[in-house]
Amino acid sequence: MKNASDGISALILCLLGLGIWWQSGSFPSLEEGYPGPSLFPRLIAVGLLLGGAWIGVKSVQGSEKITKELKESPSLLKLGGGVILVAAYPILQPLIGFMLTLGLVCLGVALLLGIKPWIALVSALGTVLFIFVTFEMLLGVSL
Amino acid sequence: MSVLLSWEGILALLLGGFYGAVFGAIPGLTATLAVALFIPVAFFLDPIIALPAIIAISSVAIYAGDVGSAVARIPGTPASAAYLSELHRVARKKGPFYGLGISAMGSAVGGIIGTVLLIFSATTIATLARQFSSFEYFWIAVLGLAAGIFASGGSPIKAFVSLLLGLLLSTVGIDPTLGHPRFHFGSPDLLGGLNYIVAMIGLFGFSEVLEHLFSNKEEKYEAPQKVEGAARQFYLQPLLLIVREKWLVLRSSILGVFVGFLPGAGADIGAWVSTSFQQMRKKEEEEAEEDDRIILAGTSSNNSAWIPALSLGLPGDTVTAIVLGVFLMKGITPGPLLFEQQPDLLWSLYLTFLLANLVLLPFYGFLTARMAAFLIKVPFKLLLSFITGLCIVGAFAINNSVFDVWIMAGMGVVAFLLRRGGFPLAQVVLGMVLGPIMEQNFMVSAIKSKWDLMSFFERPLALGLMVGTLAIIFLGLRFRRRFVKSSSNQ
Repeated sequence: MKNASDGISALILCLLGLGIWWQSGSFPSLEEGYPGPSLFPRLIAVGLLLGGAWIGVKSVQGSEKITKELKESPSLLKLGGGVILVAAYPILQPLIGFMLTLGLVCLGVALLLGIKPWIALVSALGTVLFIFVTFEMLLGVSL
Repeated sequence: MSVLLSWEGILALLLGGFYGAVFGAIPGLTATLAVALFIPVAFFLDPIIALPAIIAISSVAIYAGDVGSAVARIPGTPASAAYLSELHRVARKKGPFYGLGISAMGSAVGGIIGTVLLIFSATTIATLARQFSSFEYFWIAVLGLAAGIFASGGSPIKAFVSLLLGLLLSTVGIDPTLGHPRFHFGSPDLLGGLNYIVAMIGLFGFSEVLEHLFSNKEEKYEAPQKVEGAARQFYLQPLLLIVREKWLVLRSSILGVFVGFLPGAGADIGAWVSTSFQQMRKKEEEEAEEDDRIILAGTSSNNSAWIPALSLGLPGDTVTAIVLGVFLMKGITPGPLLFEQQPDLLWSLYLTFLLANLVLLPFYGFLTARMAAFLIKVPFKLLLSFITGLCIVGAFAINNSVFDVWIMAGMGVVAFLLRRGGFPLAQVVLGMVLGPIMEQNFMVSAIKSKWDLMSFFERPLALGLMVGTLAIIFLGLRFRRRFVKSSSNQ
């Protein structure tokens, strides 16, 4: 395989297509056997299968451009940290409040990005203050 | 003619423009949110204040949505997603004043052309558009999707897959025709479907943060050139570009107006179709100016598209829907009857649109470009922490739902993976916007014709739109083949 990234994409797309086809099977049909709510998802599933197959074939032939090379030193740990921090917001917010939660998330992301701790702290405080003034005070959005 | 243009009306126009500029320019806040938050205020205002204000807010906020694209790769509207990468690149390489200057001047000129065309041809085109049925709307959505495939400028098959993913996301929730819940996995929060604004924040905003966290890059972008003669960069250079590319601007504005006449199509498809046309005409030897032309094509159609919707009384997109809602709230029913019953009001609306495009966009456009010039100087890593906060709050504020924060984070992860695989992101948004229009009109047409699929090709207008779709696909493939051939020869 000349382009592994596209090969993996093709596999995921085919699996997704199959999954949608299978899940759509539980949707009801119209009277007289006409397709109902399952029609569009199934058409999309077929499209994904065909698209995945096409990309897969091209990746074997190596005719698609190699899309993105990892010249940098990638960090899955930092990526995961960022996702966990943001995903934790809805859980923490009802417990410790909007300002503290948002401040912690912004501080965490800034530290993960390699910003010096004191600058990260000032930036997080500034972000929370800006959002509080703009949304809560000026726009009346309850945070 | 002076119904809306009393001194109170002009003051409302100025203040509304300022509100729209500031609101639209903050990444994560959108034109939709700007006009939506104005509704409770508009309720208590006199029509001569409320109407100019809402026109100014929507006109300026739609343009100002480009500031987010320029600074942080977060588009304010689905229309600005059509030329997101180009605007971001130009703002970083040639400076925010020039990038946003093209955007503001393009929007202003497009809006003026749109208004003038509206004055001369509204009645005729309104009569034509009134003949549209679900068959034509279905084909309009297909045409928009076909244009989207070639708007990416990259691999059409990957753009097609991105569109399919967007269409798939649009099927989450209650089926628009038959009312059956789909892909909600037992969660009541998913029954209402995925909000495309929330998705856009995750796709473009949060994925940028994830990309930087993953790649550990010190600084991704080259520093923009030092700003010298900001006004020259914002006004003069874009205007010279517009003069040089007058046919492009005229073509895009006309496309925007005609697409805007079709209810449900609105500014978004207008911008996508125009951008797509420009991508197809891309000239390898003029690569340096190609980004400028693509921005110009998109912006000169995005502000002319929603104006004609007023003449039919049917909104093309969410912003227009809210604007029309304010009109109704004030006892004015937009639509064909407006031409016959309130010609004075109609003329003052035209004049308000002209003023908004002639004065407000250039003036407040410069103001927002100044904000962007400041933001763009902030070290990008510091900006990313700020963007994370805005992404969270922006996603939450749309529906006051913490569940949307998870949706936003999930979309960020999906977008990160798509970017890594070389799949374009803007097409996902287009799929999400057009999916319900296409599905609903297909199902309604099919049920109406008792599943006789030939009926999709029988009406002349539907047939014309189908031919247009095929022409876009043919031209897209042909120009792409030529482009690939010329690239490989060099």
